[in-house]
Amino acid sequence: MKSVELIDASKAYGNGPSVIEKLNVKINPGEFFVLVGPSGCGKSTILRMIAGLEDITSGKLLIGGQPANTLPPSKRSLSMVFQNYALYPHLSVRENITFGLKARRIGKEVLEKRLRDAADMLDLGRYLDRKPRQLSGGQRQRVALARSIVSEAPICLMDEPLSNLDAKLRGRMRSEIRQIQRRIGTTMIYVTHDQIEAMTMGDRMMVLHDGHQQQIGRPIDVYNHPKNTFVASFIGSPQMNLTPVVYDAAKKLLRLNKDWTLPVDLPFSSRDLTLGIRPANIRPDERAGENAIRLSIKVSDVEILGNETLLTFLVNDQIWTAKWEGQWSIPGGTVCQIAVSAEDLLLFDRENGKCIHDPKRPSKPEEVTV
Amino acid sequence: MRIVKQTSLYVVLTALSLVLFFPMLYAFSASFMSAQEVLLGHFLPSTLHFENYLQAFQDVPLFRFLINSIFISLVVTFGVLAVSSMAAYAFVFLDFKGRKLLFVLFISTMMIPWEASMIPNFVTVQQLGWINRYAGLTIPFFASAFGTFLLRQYFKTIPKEMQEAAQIAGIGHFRFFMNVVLPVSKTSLVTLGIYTFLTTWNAYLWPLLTTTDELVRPLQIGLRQLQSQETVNEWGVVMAAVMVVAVPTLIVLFIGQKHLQKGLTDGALK
Ligand SMILES: Nc1ncnc2c1ncn2[C@@H]1O[C@H](COP(=O)(O)OP(=O)(O)O)[C@@H](O)[C@H]1O
Ligand SMILES: [Mg+2]
Repeated sequence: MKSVELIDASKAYGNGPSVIEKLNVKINPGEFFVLVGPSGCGKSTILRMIAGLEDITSGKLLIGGQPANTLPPSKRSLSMVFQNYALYPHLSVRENITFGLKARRIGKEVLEKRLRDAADMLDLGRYLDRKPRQLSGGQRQRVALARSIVSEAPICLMDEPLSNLDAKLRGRMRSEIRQIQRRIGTTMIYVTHDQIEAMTMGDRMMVLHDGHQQQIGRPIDVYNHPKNTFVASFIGSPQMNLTPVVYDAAKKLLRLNKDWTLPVDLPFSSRDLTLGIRPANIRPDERAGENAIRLSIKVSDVEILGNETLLTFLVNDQIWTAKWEGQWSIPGGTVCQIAVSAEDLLLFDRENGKCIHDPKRPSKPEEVTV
Repeated sequence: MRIVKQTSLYVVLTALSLVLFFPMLYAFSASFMSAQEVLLGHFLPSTLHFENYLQAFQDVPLFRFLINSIFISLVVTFGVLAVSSMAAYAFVFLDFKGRKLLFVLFISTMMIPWEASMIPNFVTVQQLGWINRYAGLTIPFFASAFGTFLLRQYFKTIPKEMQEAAQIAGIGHFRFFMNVVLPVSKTSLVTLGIYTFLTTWNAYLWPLLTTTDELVRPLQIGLRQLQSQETVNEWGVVMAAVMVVAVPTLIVLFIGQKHLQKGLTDGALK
């Protein structure tokens, strides 16, 4: 298995503006690495740069430690699964899976064995003689995966492979892809716009916005310790609540507006900030600890999702969401008390969006082991 | 109600097709008549004069012409398919500077009527010594702007990812062209093939200009030759030859009809 490393990699199409700006990342051998970001942020472009389908405008690409900027795609020891699967419509499933192997003059016995293994792994045995159009979306997806598996390439690239599937199938394929990757140990670079996929599948992930890398880390660390407001709002569902606040250093409180204040002691002078708090960290009054900060709010909407309840309410004309465990049937318009603890409050610089206060962040970042 | 509607529809269609088909039917009928019957204006032969067909083959080397026509049409068809598909591939799947400009230039030649370039073409063929040669009757038609255009439009609908997947798997251009692009575009290729075959089969002016030798002349010229020999009296013989000319076109059309329809509507949807 091979590592992939980008050093100051940038990309501009033609003479246009740059769509990828100075990317720096090292993806370890055997790692499941997710590139996540909203549509149009440049995820596919990065994947295509790694694959050699687009050239790199400036910066370096190393594959397995070797410079790879000018290698043709077939020499980069990788396989790729496309969003629309890119199966050949006139070939049977069997021929689709082995097409690339035949071009590489792989012996018949080896080819048959790999085909059998991949078909077993993906449960495709019964469909080998069908044409792609005779398959369901999920089965086509499996054929595309099988094609990538039989190549036995040390690196596998996937561009939103699950986005054409329905929600249930997507959930199943998530864990299936993850399991297969663990079993064969390939280095995986997986692109998605879906933060749930990023959270559940990746060993590490990189969050992207407008061609700029925002944060790299283990999903759980990115979730708990977002580096800026973009990452904070993009990762997590429902979204993190973000509201402009002012810190009053003299009175040691955060002022949301004239009646709303949160008493907290912060190590800096008065300034404009953005307050962030996860919906799950807003608790009902009676379930909060002694030191919690209490606020009274007027509930505007309640959604009971089985065993958890989403409450929405307005704070400073902004919609906040709280996620409470259990079933709470509270009529809209009710005034009730909520509680937050000071250690769950994240504070971001209002100007540049950077996180400047994160009480739970370990002073020394944990070593990431894969 | 439905039945009435259906019936009237079929009656109208049948009537129209009879009108449309009348010359063909009459030619078929006349090909079995004696000269006298034709001049008397009969619609159906009183006795079947099969000897008209024999006569036609004896008056001019009709068999030779038939073979020539088949050979020339097939060669042009495959030549056009090969050249157009490769050109279209380059216009769609190869990235090179000035690709768009070159394509526009290529397509704009469709606006020049063929007759306008006939004389320079004739001179070129003459200089090459291709008068009275199969080469002169076939090779000038290989580069077809229309064919390239038609195939390019179809190739453009092939998802780019297919080529990219091939690139990553280490499948080269030629292999991708032969094993993916051509099979996927079968309908368009059949459409272009039939169109080219029929156009070549019915060509008259160019073969007339570039051949004087009966050994290479196609059927259409032979027909004309027969007509000038037999005008006065033997219309039945001429009609017999007309049938010999028309039947292969009908066969090609019948075989290809399904593909042709599908190909044309495919193109229309794009
Ligand atoms: N071939 C191209 N030519 C010009 N601009 C492109 C091309 N492909 C993508 N872009 C631009 O690059 C940006 C990133 O696109 P892409 O990598 O496809 O985003 P994502 O996959 O994250 O949705 C977009 O702004 C898009 O418009
Ligand atoms: Mg994309």
